[in-house]
Amino acid sequence: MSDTPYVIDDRDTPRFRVHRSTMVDPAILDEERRKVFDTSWLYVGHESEIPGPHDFRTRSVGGRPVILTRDVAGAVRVFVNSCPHRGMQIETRPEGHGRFLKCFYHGWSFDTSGDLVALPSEESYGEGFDRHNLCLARPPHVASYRGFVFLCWTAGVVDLETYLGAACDVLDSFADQCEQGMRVAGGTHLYAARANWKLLSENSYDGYHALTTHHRYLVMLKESGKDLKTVFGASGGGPALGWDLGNGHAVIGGADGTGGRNTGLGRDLPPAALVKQVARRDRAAELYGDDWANRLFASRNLVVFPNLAMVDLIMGITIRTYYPVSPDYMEVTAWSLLPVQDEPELHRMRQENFLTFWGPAGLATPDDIEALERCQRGFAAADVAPWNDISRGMASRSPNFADELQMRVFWREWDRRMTGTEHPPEVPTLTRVGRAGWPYESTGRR
Amino acid sequence: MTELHHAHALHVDPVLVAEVTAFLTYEADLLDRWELRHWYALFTPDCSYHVPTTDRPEGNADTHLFFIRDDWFLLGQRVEALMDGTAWAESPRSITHRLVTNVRAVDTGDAVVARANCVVYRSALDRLDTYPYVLDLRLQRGGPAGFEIAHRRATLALAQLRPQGRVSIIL
Repeated sequence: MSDTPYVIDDRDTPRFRVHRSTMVDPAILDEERRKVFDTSWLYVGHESEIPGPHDFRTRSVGGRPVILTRDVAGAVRVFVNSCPHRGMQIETRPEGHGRFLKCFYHGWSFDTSGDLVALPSEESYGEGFDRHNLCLARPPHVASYRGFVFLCWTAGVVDLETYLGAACDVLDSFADQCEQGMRVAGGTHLYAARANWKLLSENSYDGYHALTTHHRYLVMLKESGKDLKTVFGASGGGPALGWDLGNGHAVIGGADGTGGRNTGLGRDLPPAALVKQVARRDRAAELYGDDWANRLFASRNLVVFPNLAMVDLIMGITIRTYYPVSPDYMEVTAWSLLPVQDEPELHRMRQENFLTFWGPAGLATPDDIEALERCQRGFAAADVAPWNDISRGMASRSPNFADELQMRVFWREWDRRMTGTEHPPEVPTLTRVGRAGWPYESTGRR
Repeated sequence: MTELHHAHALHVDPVLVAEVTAFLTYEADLLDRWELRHWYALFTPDCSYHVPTTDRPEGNADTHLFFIRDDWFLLGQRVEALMDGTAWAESPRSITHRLVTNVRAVDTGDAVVARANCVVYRSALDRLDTYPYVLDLRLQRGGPAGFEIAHRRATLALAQLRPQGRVSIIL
């Protein structure tokens, strides 16, 4: 690397800048693959996507093809989707069900525990042949937290819950929304953007761009009769803020989940649906107390470093992950997370409100993609216009959701991984507190 | 959902097919010329406009994740944003070029059910995106154009939306 730093974290002025070479340089992407993706816990999928034994999903995680399945006993398994014989990708269907994973090249068959169970002319390998040496390869680490399955491609890293840290609390706030659990809806958004992958981490919890980039979405809400003050107003338990969760994870969120009225984005719930929403919130309060119930029914944008975004805008929840193919192109995969038991009135509004905002044909996401792609085109001038500014809120005592604290949290961790530079946290990081719920107040400035 | 049964597809009324083809060509033309408000006027107030995801082409809009699940109001909002230039992904407007073919249509008594194979070429800046899809329509006779659209479903003939990245135009 040259003498120019990737990140300038000037606490005195204050000013935070990121060098645009990080968005365009193929050598930096090669380094990211090793130092960021290979040493992070990466999201594989949700357990509900493979409800029973031998159900499977195939996908690419951290640049490598994997099979997410359940063995005969129902345990979640993740295998490298490559035959130990000659490397062929065994299963190419995105999803399916089968007791055996069969490689058609030479007919080797594996069970859903990854064991090689049959191959033609096994005797020709001689007496000392041991099939157990030829089972499907596995990622060094696979673990689930509350139904969310992760893997890590490097052995010896910290365990998943240590890695997630206070982000566990935020994942709980997604998982706790239904006593019967949460599920991923059938149907996947498989899209892409001609932009650097890190731009989507930034965008996924960028509260600053909503009024401008998503003008047309807000016009739609207004035309539908919604009172926009309920979207951006500091109603309920306090204003929408941003928090550093440690390890590069951050969340922004509102505190408007007191129930009983239409808050957050999306067309207003009709009265019959609103009654059900209030009942859900009250049930959560019975189970977990008011503080946690308010959290569950408030908005949250979480990014688990480096590339898992989970966004709950009350009207719907999206899970999104994205990987670089080249510095200026990423593949995006997005799902809808729903309560297992949902009242029909609420379900209908969730389906509708999700798509109205999100997805590659929604009234918001295509404009996000357009913004990211135009940034990438602007980066063609990175040599003469080299810096992105991510300073907003650095001078504030209480970083709010429209500030850029969360992006600085991301970039400081990114820079630590890439260059070893330690940036002290700008505000105290949250620690895991469970259902006591993270505080509504900002953690303030040191 | 407007499902055109295979048995019907073999025994179509050529006069009806000609009428529907003329209508589909007319609306494709409106879309290509960005006369979206005129195009929107072809819809009935109880209409729906659906685009299922690439991995659930047979999906049900009430249970599966879709790409688009518009009612009359939302479709109107989509059209207005495209027209007033605040749909940034279509500002400046792209050039679209639509082909409509393989038209089949059946009069079921309460509606004319039609299916066509469509391709839209979308050109903007340095990119050319191609959207092949099956268009299913439920039409009512009436209105100045001869038909009104009660349901429109565009099922992309794509395994993924990765090459195109998004659907910022009307399919």
